[in-house]
Amino acid sequence: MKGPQGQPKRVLVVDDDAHLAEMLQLILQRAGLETKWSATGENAVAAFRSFNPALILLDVMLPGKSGIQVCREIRAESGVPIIMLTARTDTQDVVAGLEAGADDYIVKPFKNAELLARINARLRRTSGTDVSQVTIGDLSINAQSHTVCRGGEQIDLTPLEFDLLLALARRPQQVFTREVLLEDVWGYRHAGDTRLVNVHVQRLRAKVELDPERPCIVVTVRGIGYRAGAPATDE
Amino acid sequence: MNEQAPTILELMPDQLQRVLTAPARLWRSSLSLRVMVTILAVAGVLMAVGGAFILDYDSVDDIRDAVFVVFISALVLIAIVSLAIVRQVILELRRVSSVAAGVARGDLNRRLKVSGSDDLAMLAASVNAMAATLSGQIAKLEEASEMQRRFVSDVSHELRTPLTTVKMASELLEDEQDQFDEVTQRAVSLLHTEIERFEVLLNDLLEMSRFDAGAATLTLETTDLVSVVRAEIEQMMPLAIAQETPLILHAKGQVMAQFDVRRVQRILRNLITNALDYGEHRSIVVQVAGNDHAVAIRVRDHGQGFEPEQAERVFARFWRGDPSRKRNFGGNGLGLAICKEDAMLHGGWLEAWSLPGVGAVFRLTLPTDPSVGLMESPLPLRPPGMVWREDEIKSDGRGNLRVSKGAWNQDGTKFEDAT
Repeated sequence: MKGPQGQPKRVLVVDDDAHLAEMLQLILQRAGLETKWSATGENAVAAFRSFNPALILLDVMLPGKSGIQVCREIRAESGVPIIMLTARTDTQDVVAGLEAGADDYIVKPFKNAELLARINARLRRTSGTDVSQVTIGDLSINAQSHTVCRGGEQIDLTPLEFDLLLALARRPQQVFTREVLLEDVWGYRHAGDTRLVNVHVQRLRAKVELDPERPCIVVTVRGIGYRAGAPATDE
Repeated sequence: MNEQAPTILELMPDQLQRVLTAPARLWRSSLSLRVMVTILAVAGVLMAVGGAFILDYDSVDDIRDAVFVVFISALVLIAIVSLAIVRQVILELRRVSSVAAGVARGDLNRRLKVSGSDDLAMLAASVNAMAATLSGQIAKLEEASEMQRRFVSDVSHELRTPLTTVKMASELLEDEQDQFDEVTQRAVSLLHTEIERFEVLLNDLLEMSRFDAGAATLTLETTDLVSVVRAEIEQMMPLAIAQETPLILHAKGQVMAQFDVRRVQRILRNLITNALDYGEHRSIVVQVAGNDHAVAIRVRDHGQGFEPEQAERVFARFWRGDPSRKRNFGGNGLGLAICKEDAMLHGGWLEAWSLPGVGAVFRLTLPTDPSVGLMESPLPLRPPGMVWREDEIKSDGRGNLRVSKGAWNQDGTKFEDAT
């Protein structure tokens, strides 16, 4: 996987287990990525600032500062894709990670191919091929510059939130089930955890809706999923 | 402790205090002393009254009247006194018995107030001591079992990290397989399979520890059981085709019930996989039926089966049928135990029936509403129309005919059923 200038994309691995971290790096390097390892939560934020990765693999259970805390701190200053590594599927763990701002999570032990597919989905940006300018509600989205504006004012979204919004906006007539969104946005080829969609729709709404209680950009279709709000009529 | 002014008694030296309060303490502490003193007092009063009458007599009749009155009064008084005493004892016993019953019900914090030092007080003290010991033992046991559950759960989690590393390494090797010689290739493939097996076992252990900890919860949905079963059978079909085993569904229309889809799918997957493993390529029939109270799934194979006595034991953890049987199948011995827990979590049943050579039947019965208990299943466990015979010797006139133990149809032909 190469960046825009041809140099390999960078992934920061945060895990306290040295052997697992080494193995992860072997797999990632084999896939053409550049890696750096941080063994503690305390060092992770500094490593993120100096290494400037395109993606972070973050273990939830770290000694000292937890993965959840690290995630929150990084999210406060960047929208960089974060994939959590967790040993448990227990609800609280996963939900806490997602609410701290993680884009996705993967449960140990995982298949290499599965890990790479999720990483690819987060690194591959949906760039404008067919339409570069789309509207959703009263927002205008520029798929080339990855920006969202409401009346000339830019709204800051993480890459994942942007992808989610763009996926809905590209096909305004379609109602998306959570499963379809998991496939389109998160790159899941098999059934995934629909909570991912719920949590990120909430986060997206908090940023783009004028009134998140009564959303009109990302509209819930009861019993099915979500669809884009109708484009605003010209005032 | 409290701020009350000391009484004169409390100001006295300890020794003197004890001597002076001794009678009062004795009175409070001993029931027999109270009884004796009361009877003596009553007898004294009666003798005094009787004496007064007799001293004042005019004739023999008067004496007789006096004796009669004293006698009757004595009877009445004794009756009243004994009633009072018996009542006191009975009330005390009732108190003890109610607390003992409470303790027996599991309310281990209940204790009796102990006053005095008579037999009743000793009884109360013993009951208290018993309850205290019991609650101590139970707390100890709970702690031990909680520790054991935590241990299983921690071990399962701790094993995940090294397992992840090993699994990644084995997949990396697998990707490079074509560069290895034949022996190494086989070794890598064995490594891979065994890691998968290890992972399944670890997940099952973790699931079991969730059941043991009471941490398993139902996610109920009102759904059509037939469509869930059909979807699962479609998923299993490639495996059935690969094993050359016919897999047949018998179900009509919809069978609606409230259940945890994920758990029911897991039960089905286990039952069908087992049937494929042990069914010896003969047909497997899955039936679904329901009524107002219950729904059922029945998975029937026509394989080697097992002894009827083992029908309960197949659900035991790490149970293996015939120890000499080759272990070439995937199961780790926790599959059916987990299924049983899944069924019980719904307030349902998971039962087995089998005969060697005839095959095995597994039946899952779930209440349509998990808050209501089960009475019966809409599907039979045993194949209908079957007669079970022990060994017997029949005479047909020309000689003895041995009819061997086994399953027979009612018309006397050897039992072979298609359902």
